[in-house]
Amino acid sequence: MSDAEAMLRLHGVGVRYADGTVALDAVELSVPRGQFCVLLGSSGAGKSTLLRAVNGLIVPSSGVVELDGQALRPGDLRSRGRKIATIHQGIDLVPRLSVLDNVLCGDIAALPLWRALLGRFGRARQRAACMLLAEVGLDESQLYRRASELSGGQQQRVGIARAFISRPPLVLADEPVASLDPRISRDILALLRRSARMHGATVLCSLHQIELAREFADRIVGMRGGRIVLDCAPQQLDDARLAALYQRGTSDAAVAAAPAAAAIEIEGLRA
Amino acid sequence: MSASDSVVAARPPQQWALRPWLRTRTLLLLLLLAALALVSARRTEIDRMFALSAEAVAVGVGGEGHSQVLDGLARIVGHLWPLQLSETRPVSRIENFDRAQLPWGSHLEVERRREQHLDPDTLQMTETTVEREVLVEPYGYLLHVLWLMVETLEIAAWGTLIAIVLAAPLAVLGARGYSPNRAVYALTRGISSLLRAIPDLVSALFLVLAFGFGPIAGVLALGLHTAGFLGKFFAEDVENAPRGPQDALRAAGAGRLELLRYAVLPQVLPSYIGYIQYILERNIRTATVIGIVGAGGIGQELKGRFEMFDFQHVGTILVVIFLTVVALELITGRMRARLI
Ligand SMILES: Nc1ncnc2c1ncn2[C@@H]1O[C@H](COP(=O)(O)OP(=O)(O)O)[C@@H](O)[C@H]1O
Ligand SMILES: [Mg+2]
Repeated sequence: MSDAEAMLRLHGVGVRYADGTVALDAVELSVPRGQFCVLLGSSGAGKSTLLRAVNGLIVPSSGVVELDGQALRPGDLRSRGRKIATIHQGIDLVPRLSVLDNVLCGDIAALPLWRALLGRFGRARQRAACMLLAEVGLDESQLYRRASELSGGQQQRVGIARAFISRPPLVLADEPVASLDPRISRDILALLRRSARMHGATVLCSLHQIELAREFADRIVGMRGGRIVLDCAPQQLDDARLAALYQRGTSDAAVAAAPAAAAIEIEGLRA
Repeated sequence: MSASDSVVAARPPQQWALRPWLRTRTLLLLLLLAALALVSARRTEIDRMFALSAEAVAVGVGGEGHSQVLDGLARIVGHLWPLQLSETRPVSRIENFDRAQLPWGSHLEVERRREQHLDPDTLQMTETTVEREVLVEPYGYLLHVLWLMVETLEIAAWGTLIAIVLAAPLAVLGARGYSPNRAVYALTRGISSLLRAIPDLVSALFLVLAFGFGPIAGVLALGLHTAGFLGKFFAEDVENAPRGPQDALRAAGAGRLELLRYAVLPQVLPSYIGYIQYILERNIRTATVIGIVGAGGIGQELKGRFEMFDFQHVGTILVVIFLTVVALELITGRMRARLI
């Protein structure tokens, strides 16, 4: 794949939290246009951190993030918000806001401040929101219901509608099905994939379920200890590669079983 | 970490150190508190309070003997009753009095009063009967008091509105994550606690000097004092609003004001309404007494009548205040049930 086709490119991106944790360590990653790329890795591997470094919620301590060949300026969340949409882990809709307003908020960066504050989103945008809500499988009766009154699966559908309303070239999803049961998880990922295809968006989605990753990904990128340790097609994800990705040393059980060895290993990862 | 930790951890459970029921430190603290309470009780006559109250209860239950407290209460209650409902004014003192058009429900009476004079010629006291015509409005005083109660409610409402308006910037600038910097944050929180620290009765005293007698001082005193409360409550709710939705909108490109409007306000609104309701109730209660320092409302009348020993008038005022507060409890209780 040549860099010209890359929708998203991370070059030497490192993130060090205030407490000294190195959550990303000089990550190199290039995602071509239109790809459904899945980030796999156990808890604490740095998946959320990577996605937040891309959407700007975290300012990386080093490296560059490029979108469509252009380096993103750190701090400018407004212009970034118009090109990159994010679907977050767990509840991230505003619970007491209506379904419609939640979706419209996805396009807030495109509005002048006064119109946003007065809630004047405009008829055209409201229509677009209705179309998207129908696309993700909600109906008119849910338009003005509070987000908190919907089931988990329905909430994540609204989250998908909110992500696509700004017609973003890149959609990030951080464990979008973490709190859903397996059947609904499958539906939601299928919906995300279909929507991305329809709107021509590139997707970078983190997951911790290997089966789901195998089923939906065009490509699987494995993370461990803030580094990319695996990059392959879903068919190539065999037991040996998985074993390398989920090596003991990062889970609490392993630490308890072999304190000395695990401590050394963690130190090695965080150095 | 340290060596001693691991030694303790290594002991068998039969030897693990268990804390005594009362530790010396706790015991000393309790003794200190008891000593303080004893000293303070002497100063505030708590012992006498108990003695007098016990005596009152004993006399009240047994029905014999004398109790200073009961006698005092009975004297006051006796003076409060019957309530003063009517208003009687001499016609000669009413401006532009029109005999043909008396106020609704009122009538004229002739009042005879004996007056004693010193006759300058004989140097004897002589008694004469003076007649004067008076206008009697049977519920005149009650209406006057009710009207003052309405003014009191208005003072409370405006005070609360001012508090809300002042609290809005105090909340935004005093919430971590929305305050532009630490200095502004500290300053804003400082202003909020300063406003809370000045009792409204005290600030009303000064505001009466600045703005004159009447409701302005009351409105401002209530507004400033309770803005300190609302500013703190509002700010703390902004700080504790769930982060997830805020991050989601931030990632979508929302600025601070948009975040407040769409990710914070919808979430905190129910508790804000609760705070405002509480502050309004509190302001109504305080507005009934703030007139005592001359800041308008029913309290001003209460103080005037009390000082003139017009206890029947005082009785009417107290009954109106009491009924208003009870009605308020009923109404707000119902409103709360509907909102939640
Ligand atoms: N705000 C934070 N402050 C300090 N450390 C953090 C913070 N967020 C995450 N971390 C640490 O960074 C590492 C990566 O976390 P994260 O990106 O959330 O992993 P994942 O999403 O793969 O579970 C973990 O060790 C985690 O404990
Ligand atoms: Mg995560």
